[in-house]
Amino acid sequence: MNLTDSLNNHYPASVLDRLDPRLRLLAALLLITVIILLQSRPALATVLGGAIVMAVAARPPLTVTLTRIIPLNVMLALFFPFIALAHVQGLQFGVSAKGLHLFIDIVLRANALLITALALVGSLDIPVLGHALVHLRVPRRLAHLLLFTIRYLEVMHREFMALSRAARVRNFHPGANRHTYRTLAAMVGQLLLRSLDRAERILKAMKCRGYNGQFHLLRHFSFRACDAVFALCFVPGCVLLIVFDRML
Amino acid sequence: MEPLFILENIDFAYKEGRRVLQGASFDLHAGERVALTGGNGTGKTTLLHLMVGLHKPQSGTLSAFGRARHSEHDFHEVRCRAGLVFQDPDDQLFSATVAEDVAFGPFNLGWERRRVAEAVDATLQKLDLADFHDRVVYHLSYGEKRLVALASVLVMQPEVLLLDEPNDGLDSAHSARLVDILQQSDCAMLIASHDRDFLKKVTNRAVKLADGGII
Amino acid sequence: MHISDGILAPPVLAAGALLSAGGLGIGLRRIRDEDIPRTAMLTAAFFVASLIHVPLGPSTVHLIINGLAGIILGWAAFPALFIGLLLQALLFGYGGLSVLGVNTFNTAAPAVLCGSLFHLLRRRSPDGLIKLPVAAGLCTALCIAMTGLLNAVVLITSHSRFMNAALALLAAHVPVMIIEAVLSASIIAFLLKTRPDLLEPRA
Repeated sequence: MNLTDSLNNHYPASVLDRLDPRLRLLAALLLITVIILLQSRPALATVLGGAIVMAVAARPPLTVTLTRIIPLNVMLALFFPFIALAHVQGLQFGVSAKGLHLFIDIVLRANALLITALALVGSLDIPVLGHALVHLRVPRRLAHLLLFTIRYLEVMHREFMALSRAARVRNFHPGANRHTYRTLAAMVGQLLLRSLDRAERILKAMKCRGYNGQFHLLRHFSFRACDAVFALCFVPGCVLLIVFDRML
Repeated sequence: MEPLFILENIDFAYKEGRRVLQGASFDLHAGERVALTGGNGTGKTTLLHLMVGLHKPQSGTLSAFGRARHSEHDFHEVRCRAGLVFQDPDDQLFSATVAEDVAFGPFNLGWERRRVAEAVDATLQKLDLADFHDRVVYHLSYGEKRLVALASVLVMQPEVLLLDEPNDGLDSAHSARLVDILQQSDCAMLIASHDRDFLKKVTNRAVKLADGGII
Repeated sequence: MHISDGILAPPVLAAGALLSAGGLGIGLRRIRDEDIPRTAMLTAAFFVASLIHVPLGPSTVHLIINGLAGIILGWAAFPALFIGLLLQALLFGYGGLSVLGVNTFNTAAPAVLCGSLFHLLRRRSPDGLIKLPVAAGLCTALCIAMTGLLNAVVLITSHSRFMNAALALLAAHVPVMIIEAVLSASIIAFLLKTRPDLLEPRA
């Protein structure tokens, strides 16, 4: 996993780009809530299908899709023996029907949640996401913390990579030993110090440009006709899902 | 005409005790482009920071734009009229996108949204950075970041530019663009640098920091 | 150590989200506007630190590093860890958006508690009785233990069949606990040598 790579948005342009990012976040939030509340398997399967359709429209790159879906399902597979295996006698184990049903529901639900996020949120550029959150009236300080953190993630990562390269060229090979732990501790300590020095310089630079505690955003989003159409299909769809789920 | 900055007998030492400036005096007049040289650790950056009130001198007087400046409040106005460009552009560019960062200063000056947007566009155009408007800062090269950092200060239409090693680490193409931009600007300037060729192209007077004083 | 999407029961998810919202509120109120760059830089640094592969026996583990965040950030650890988890979910798909509240609470609440415990020890313990790096090691170990316990509790309360999985998850925290204690003690020793003022809590 490469941080710099992950920060870049590799999604190609898609129809979902026409939607207001704020709407996409709200839609994701609504659908996630619905998926959590669903109880019946047909409803879960339907919502998974719907999520896949949206993901196809959002066109996430194959590598991104696989690196999200495979680890999740491997994790769930590790979970399988703990919930679905039942002790028969001695060293014999069998798969319990109840456990298996529970497990299938978990797999459907987990994948539906992941693919929803992949389709509606994953295709947003991270800075766009930050701005959308600001405009959705997330607490101001939280949004600015998020925007600042995103901006400097790569800078901090670069500083850490420089430290780690400097250690490597002096023949540092990490292993499970005291020297490694002391070295890693010094590197993390150094990283923390640099982050504080950096913060001081940033604050100074902000004051030099007249900072007085206010932030203003240049980017504004607009809610257009296509957004209204999407919302008019999406919200009743979610309601129908819940009704369908409870009728079964 | 009265100088833009008058520094008289400035003493400054860091909290941990390192004395940097002792009896330093210096004037900056309108139209002057002053080269500030001196070895590592002689206090070039410190002097620039003192001029915009990021450090306060232990003794001596500093006046800017015709008034003595002491308090943080005094310096707020100084910072709006004298733009300091930091050595590391990552310290200065904290926004996600180029336009957003260039707009930060003008918003702080209290300009209304439309005027800010126009000023941002005009400045990026003038620096030949118009294509960068919506670029994400962390995708820029080092040289590009430095030019954007300069834009983020120039957009505030300062009367004085304080530049900390502006040419450091730039390739010849970016350096040439920087020289161009500085030659076209009519700001008074104080430029801390080690690069003599660069300073020769953009300055018309030179001072040197040594032993805590300015020669 | 994250709990994934799709496993926990709705009431547990709702409780996690509510408790985290409360913690976030307190954390944000204690940050001044001037502290935003500082808090954000530390958040970024902790995030980067959590990506390091730390060798342990024949394999490697990732640090949760919430104990150290609690010591250095105090209540601001809530927003810091929330942002860290949000970015992990968005950038790498770890955790997930639906469990963000639970995961935030399970890492940040122990962090705040262990941070205060560390500062209590720092102020109250007579000189030399307990060395600060040792105190930091103990506090961070306790922090991971509490995170493991909370993770087990949310599993058990979600479904009766999750008991065994919860116990296994709890056991998986033990090696992380040891490694975090050792590393945090060394990091605190390093900071005491270079910038002791950093350990003064702010928020």
